[in-house]
Amino acid sequence: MKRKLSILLILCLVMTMFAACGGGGEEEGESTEPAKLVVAARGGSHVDVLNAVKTDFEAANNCTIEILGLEAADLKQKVSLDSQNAVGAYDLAMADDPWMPEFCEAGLYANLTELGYEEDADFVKASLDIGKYPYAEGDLYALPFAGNVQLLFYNKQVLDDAGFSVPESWEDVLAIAKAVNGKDGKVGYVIRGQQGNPIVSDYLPVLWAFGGDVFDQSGNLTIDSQEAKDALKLYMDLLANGANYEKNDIVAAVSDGKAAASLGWPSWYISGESASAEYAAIPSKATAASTAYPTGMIGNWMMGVTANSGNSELAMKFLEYVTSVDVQKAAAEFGGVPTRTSVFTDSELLVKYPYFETILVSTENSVVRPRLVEWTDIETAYGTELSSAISKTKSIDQALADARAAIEAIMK
Amino acid sequence: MKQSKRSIILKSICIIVLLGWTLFPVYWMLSLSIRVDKELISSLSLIPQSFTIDHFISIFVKNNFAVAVMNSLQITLISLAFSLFFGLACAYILARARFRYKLKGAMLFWVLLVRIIPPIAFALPLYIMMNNLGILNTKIPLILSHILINIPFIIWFMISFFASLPEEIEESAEIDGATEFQLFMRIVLPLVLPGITAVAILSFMTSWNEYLYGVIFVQSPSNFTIPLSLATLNSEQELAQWGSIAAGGIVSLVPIAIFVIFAQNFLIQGLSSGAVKE
Repeated sequence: MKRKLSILLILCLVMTMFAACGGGGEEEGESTEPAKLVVAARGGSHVDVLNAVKTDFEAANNCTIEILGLEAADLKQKVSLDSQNAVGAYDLAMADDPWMPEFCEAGLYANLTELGYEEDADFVKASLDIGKYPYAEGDLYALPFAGNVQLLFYNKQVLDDAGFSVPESWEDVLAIAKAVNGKDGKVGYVIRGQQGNPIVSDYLPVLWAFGGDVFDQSGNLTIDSQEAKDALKLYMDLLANGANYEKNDIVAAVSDGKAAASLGWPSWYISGESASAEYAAIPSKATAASTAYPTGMIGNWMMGVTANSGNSELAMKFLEYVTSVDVQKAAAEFGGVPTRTSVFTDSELLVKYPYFETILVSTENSVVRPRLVEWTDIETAYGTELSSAISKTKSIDQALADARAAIEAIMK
Repeated sequence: MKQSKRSIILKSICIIVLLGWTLFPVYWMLSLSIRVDKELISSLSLIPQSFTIDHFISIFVKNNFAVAVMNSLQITLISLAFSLFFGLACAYILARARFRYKLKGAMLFWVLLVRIIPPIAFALPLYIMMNNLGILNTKIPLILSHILINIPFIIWFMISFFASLPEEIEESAEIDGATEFQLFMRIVLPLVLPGITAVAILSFMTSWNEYLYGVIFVQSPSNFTIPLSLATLNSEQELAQWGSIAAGGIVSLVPIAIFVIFAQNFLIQGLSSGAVKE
């Protein structure tokens, strides 16, 4: 009996082994079989959109398209690793907009202009510029696949009850936070103060509204300027009159009326035709009397043909297809945010998705994060120091000075 | 010796605290997996106020979780079988055999080195090797990398078990005419069954939960393992799907639980199957 069981076990193991060695199920075909494109994409709604629209393209071009949905950091790692191969595993790859300098500098993306692509003026300029390297001026390496820009989200009922209208300056936001915080268990303004990308993304719009920036026009580091100190002071005042939550809790708090307002990406609050909170462009001024600056952080997801794609012609065709007007219109049904002006302003779509208007205006007035290969490391260092400041383990001056030192070390 | 009432109460409290401490995360994951979305995005109560199996349905229908479960099972079982086969043999040889030129110490250190060096250090060389061999589009790289992680652990874990066996038992078997293979399979292995079971459970869990090599080697969604599949449910610009993540976590617990329950029998069997005839 034992012997039979052992033989059965070994047989099962051998069969499983053969199955495992068989690979992904869709092996590279012979020349007669349809061509195959592999798209390395960020998991979530982007994959839903790609899967929903790929069928028509497959039928029209006698090809199969495989979408590999990955968590953002994993996507970056895999695409970077694959770029070392002579013929890559991926024909198209998505990239978060701050990654673009790194990807282009590493030669990861193919030059779209050289692949015969002609620039389409229908794309919102701010979005299309991200795909160019050097930024806004160079050749095109990626097209904006999904639109995204930070907005101010607020609970209208909470603002109405406190007697406020939509804030136009950060001074107004602080006044709302002070008025709401602690009343009936509510918190005023909710920040996202976790180290790294969260706090940097949450704080930069405040810094920009104060006229500050990470670097000035000449590329000098200005994170410890007076504007930066004032902005961080206000950011900490907002925290003192609010709370520091993780993104899911931020959305829950503002949507349920337990908090007055927060910044956020549209996909957090908006799903399909409805939004769980009211939205507006991020206040562009520090005070009512101060100068207005662009403050909407752009965060488009780009898509490009990989430089080592074995099928770059077909990949280019697919890229044009997934960023076309028709597909962007169809993608809206699956949570896709367009990057084309004609889709944003389509009257039928606007009835269904009224937030398109706000996103378009904010995108047109958006700001990009510094276009530097080192940005990911800078963001980590900067975020660590900002977090130290808001947790009061360092003074504002000390935290910003330490951030400067850390960023200078990275830039060396 | 009769225990005092106070001591019993104290022990009971300690056990309850310990149980609560270890089982609460599992309870919390289960409770998240059965709540409706609305409850998950507001203040959470300790006891679920709603009940749904939508998250379980969603991960299987929308996220193709069945494929991930099958892949994880395939990779874990195959890598475990190979790791145990080679690991136990190596451990026995290293525990019993005599080597010239103090090679034993060097070999043990070499084996340990694989475990000491952070797994990420192997990732790039392995990726290049697997890519050159043209096997990246299969599950073989994952299986091989899991074997790489588990063999040193098995060797180091089992050496002490083999070394502590009285050599007289093996000598008796040899006198009775047992071959080296028979000796190993029929005498030695049954005696160290508790150790094998323990190391198998730990290796199974390591392989089942392995994420790093999965992220690097897997090139196709059809090769996704459970940790990879769950990771895609949380990304920066979208809200984390806590319900689905928790449901995936609960589903992924089931095979481990079954394996541990099954393997526990061998822990007891091994302990009771002595070398001396009764």
